[in-house]
Amino acid sequence: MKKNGKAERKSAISLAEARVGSIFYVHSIEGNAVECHRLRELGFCEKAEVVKIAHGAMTVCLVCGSKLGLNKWLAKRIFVTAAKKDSAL
Amino acid sequence: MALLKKDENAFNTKSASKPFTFALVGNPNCGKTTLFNALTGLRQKIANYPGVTIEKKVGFFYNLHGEKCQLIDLPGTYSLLPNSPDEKITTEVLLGLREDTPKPDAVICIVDATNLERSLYLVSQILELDIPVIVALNMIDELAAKGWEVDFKALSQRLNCPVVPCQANTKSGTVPLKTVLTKEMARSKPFVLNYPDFIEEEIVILEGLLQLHNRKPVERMVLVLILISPDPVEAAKLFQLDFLAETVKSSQEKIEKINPSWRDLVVRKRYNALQNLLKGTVKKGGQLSRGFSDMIDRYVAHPFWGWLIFSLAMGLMFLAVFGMGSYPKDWIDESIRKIAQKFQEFFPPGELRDLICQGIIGGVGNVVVFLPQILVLFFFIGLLEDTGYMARAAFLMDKLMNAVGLHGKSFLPILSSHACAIPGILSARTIDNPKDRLLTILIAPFASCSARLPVYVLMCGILFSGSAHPVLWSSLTIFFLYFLGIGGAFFFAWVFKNTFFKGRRPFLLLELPPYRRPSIKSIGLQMYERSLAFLKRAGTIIVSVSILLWFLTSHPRLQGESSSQALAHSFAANIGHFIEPVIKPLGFNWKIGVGLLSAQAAREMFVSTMGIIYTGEETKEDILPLTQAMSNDLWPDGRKVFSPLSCLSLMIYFAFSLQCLSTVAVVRRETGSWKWAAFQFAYMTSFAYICSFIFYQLGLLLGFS
Repeated sequence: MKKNGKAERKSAISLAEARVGSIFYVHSIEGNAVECHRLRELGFCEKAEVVKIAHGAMTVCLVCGSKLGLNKWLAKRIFVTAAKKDSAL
Repeated sequence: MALLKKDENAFNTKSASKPFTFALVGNPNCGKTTLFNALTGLRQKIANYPGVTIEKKVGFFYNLHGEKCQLIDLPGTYSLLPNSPDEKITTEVLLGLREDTPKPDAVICIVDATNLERSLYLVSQILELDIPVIVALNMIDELAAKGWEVDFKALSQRLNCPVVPCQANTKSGTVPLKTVLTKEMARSKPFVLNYPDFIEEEIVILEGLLQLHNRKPVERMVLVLILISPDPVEAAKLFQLDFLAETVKSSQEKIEKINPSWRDLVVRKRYNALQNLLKGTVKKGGQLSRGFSDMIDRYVAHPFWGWLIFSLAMGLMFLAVFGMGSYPKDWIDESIRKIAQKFQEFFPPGELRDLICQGIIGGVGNVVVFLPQILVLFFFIGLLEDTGYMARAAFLMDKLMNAVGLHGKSFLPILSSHACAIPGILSARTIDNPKDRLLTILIAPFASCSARLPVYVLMCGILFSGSAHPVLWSSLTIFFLYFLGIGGAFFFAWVFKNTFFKGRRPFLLLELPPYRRPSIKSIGLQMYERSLAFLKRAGTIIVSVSILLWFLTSHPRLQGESSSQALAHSFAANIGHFIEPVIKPLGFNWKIGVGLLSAQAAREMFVSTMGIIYTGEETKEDILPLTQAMSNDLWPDGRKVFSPLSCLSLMIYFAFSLQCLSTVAVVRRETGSWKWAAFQFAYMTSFAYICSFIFYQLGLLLGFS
């Protein structure tokens, strides 16, 4: 179980690096407690589904049915793992 | 389920005359204010981006029995645990923690029908407060457009409260909603989430502590909120349960040892419960993304195309301000001059004629002529707000703003300040970090507000009167001045961030509203409200100060003296000559000095003052356009007072200085201290003076005039 957890952490990438047009699952969030709590309340809970829509001046993603824009710095602190599904777009 | 009639049981403490109070709550940008306007008939500002409502608004409506009901529109929030001052208002009102607002008898939760899962997170928290809840499912037109369906009855049964579909922007569904609001208000069966034992045990300890302190029981949800709060001291203070703070801290430490990711667990549990609750109530199409909207976002967020689109939008806006606004402006200008001439002919020479022609028409008339250009500016701002572009533009600016230490969310207050600094400063309430909020308030008035526009237009009129392309040159100059204002804001943000506002790098997270076709009605309404406010200001402050200025510029007057002779030794001239040595190095004469002094009340007073001084100077019956009269003014050595160098120096001064008493008062209110208001006034005025001084003196050294 522990081995699986470690392997999963290794395969996790930041949302900033994630490929546009794919579906991911939230693995973990880094940052201070206040910011992490707000992110969770907005739907970035562990195992929540995230669809990355665009990347550039902002990272645009779909979480809990709503479209959120995040700056690059924040997107780098949200770690995701690839979902075993085809491209969402 | 306990049924409560509005005049019974829980509400029998209310006097019969007191209206039944509903609170309107929901996520940002879900249509709360649109529904508020639809129910009350009021015209509060609405726009297609989150964070427009930053203060509670109260209105009244009549239910189907003709009873008067009070409706409180609250700032949008995602959770009852607030993150910013505006969200705090919502929590405080809902829990009856504010002395100035009655605790609502029932809550109307407005929910974006296309985004149920996220919206119901807040609704579920409110349901746990055990007060009557009515869910208004808004934007059902967008739901239908996506090919989705919601089983309202099933949803109502599962949430245990009435669910009413509506479309607030067309007022559709308001009658069924009023019907529900007229019926008996049922306390929704408490929506209770059970957490793992190690968390439940701590909740029980907190409940015990309340009893120990002889405090009346509070809702379980409140205790859960304090327990999961990352800042328990602040949360306990907010809920007026300060004595719980220390216990909560130790409870959190205990829970942390058992499960380090317990906060994630608590939030996830709620989302999982909602997902289960929604199963079978929502029929979705196969569409995961939003097609066309997503495609636009890929261009708008693009590092190159994004900036190009932004620059084109801004460039087009400023060209339109001149291109579209100059014709009605000239027409109003001509009409006002004709009216003034009629008065000149009608009244015999004397004090009354001078008061009307120079004091009132010369003062107010010269400001009113700029109304068309201000309206064009508001039309474009309205277009950008309504389409949903504003939130995207915030991200474009974020990188730039981060470089100087500004919060990405500061973009919206700065942008709002381009209309007027006051709503801009107020909208800084959406910023959660107090240091970032204060920083935004301190630099927001650098954004060129609409009151600066008349001064810029007047100066451009003098500068480019002989040019072959006055519209183009004026547009470019004002575009540059707007950037100069932003540049000043960014420069001081960087200075302050690296001195007394040192802190963590802020992050930006915004819900992106869907692109929508702009509502001409809504934009028109905003333009109407703005013109009303502008004309009201012209009819009150500007007319009063204009009359005072006319008196100061035309008195004392000796018998047989002309207006220009009287002006030379008037009270205003004495004041102007007194300050002239200070402002002469900027290229300003005493008349400009009087204008600068009057502009401290409101920036557009400068134009009004110029109108009074220069129309007062004319000796002939024929009244010249203000720009022409100002162009003719000369220094004693024969040089033009309004030379290109001094005109630009004056515009630079206006771009940076803080000349608005209302802004100073609002900054004092928002920061809770005169210290910050005085500091802001001092540093902005000094900076404006230094920049104008350097520009003018450098210009002279380089041989410009």
